[in-house]
Amino acid sequence: MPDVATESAPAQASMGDADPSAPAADEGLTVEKLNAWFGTHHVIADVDLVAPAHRVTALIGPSGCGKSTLLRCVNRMHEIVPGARVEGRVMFGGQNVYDPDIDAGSVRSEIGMVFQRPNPFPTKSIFENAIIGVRLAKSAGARKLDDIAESALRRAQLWDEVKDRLHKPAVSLSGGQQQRLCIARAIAVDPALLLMDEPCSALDPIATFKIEELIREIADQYSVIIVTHNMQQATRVSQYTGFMTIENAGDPGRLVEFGATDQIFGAPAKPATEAYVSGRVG
Amino acid sequence: MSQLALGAPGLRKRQSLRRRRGKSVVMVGLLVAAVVVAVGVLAWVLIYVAIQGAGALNLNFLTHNPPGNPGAAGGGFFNGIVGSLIIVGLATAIAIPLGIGAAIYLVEYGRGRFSATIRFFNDVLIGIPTIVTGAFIYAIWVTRFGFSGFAGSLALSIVMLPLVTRTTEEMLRLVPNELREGSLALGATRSQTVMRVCLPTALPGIITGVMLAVARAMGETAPLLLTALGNDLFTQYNPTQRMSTLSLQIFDNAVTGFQEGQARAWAGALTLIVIVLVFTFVARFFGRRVRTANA
Repeated sequence: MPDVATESAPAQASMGDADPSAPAADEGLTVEKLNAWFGTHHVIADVDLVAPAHRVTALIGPSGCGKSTLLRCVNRMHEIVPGARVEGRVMFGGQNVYDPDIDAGSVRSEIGMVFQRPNPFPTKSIFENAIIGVRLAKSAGARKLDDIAESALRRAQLWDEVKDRLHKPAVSLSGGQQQRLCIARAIAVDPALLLMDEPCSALDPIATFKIEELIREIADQYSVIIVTHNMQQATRVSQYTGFMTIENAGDPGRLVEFGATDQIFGAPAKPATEAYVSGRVG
Repeated sequence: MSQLALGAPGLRKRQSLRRRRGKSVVMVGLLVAAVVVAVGVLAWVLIYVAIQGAGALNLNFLTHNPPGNPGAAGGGFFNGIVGSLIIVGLATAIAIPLGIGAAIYLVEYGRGRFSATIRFFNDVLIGIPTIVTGAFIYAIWVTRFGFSGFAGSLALSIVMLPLVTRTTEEMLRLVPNELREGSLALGATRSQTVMRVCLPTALPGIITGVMLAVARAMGETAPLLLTALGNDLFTQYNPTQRMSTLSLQIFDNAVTGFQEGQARAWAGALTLIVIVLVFTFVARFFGRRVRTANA
């Protein structure tokens, strides 16, 4: 394990462990009364959820229901869009990531993100892509960078395929390999939580299978929240599932139901969830 | 009327198909003609200059200054080559950081009316006749400090600045937003994202844009008439003094009316084209190498 020291949280214990009833809330993620806007458009409303540590939590729901926005609120990526606004709290490691004293960059290096389409940096090699987060956010010696790259690429199950061509351009890889490189890039900085925004939607079934396998593997070290359109995928990789939807056109998206994946798909409590997971809606 | 009965929806009569094919042939023919004319004229210029200039272009031309008597044969544009390189080099050194900096601001930071205004004035600046730029530098600089190579550099940097800004801006806009997000999501700051991700990705295009601006500045004559003024007597390396440039010497020698002078002007024109081509190729090569080395 490379020694990438996790940034120790500054003394702000007063923010407190939010929800004592939540399983491992101090390590997991707790979203409280989260609302998000693009300009005047209210995208998501009053979302409360607890994503437990070292588990995979899936967010499902029809297109445009705000799943991705919710995900992007968690690591403060929502606010980089001009006019975007967030209210509410996202408790992570005992702190509110929206606390005015908290630096957004430090949030993003503790909460990694993998995007819908693989986005390796095209001017950089496989190796440089794997370690760029370490170079950007944290300092490490050249010797350590080699170890970090190898370890991250191994955990992303890409090492065997690229170890002989680490210094070749990242864009020479296939789409699935590029996406695993992006996962390696995200986990190289050792985040506690990894957000995945439909990470397989641009990939073929075999590449998808590999990524799903990888998600199950890394879940023992990282907490994962994954947005997916694919309900089979949610059942395959996740232990918890949240269902989001929009009641009427123009309304903000809301979290309708959250629970164990088996329960959401097997015995949903809400009719809307039942309609969606059984394929009658959405 | 009978063909109406034939016509299943979507299936077209032969007649109209033939007409469409005819139109297509005519249009493609026009486009090919346009390409042939455009490329043909360019080739004509290059070949003509090469033929006219090759006669007087030799080592002597590249290493000697013009003869005192413009009607005399021999001599060369050595001091003009030196002057062009120094003046354009200084102008580039001024225009690149300002232009790239402005473009970074416009694309990565600027929003709203302010940057829209800057963009508008940048476009206006591209369209300003360069003799006006020369007159402007004459008024604010030369009247105080006298004619100098540096005054020429200032004028040329004003010519280059909007071109560098514009191309850099366009190249930065081509960098997919996903790459910016990828960088920010790793905890990088906005400036790290610009320096480590956006600029390297856009670099080949930026280099091409800068080279176009350099080529443009190399050939500019009008703004130098009122600033660097020219100096055919000796080689001047000091940009605080008046300097000659290739473009000024081409102009001076072409208008002498002496065949010997005109021969030198042709050779100078060929030299100018070759310098610009060499710069462009070197920049392309360098840009590609940066890309693959990084890549």
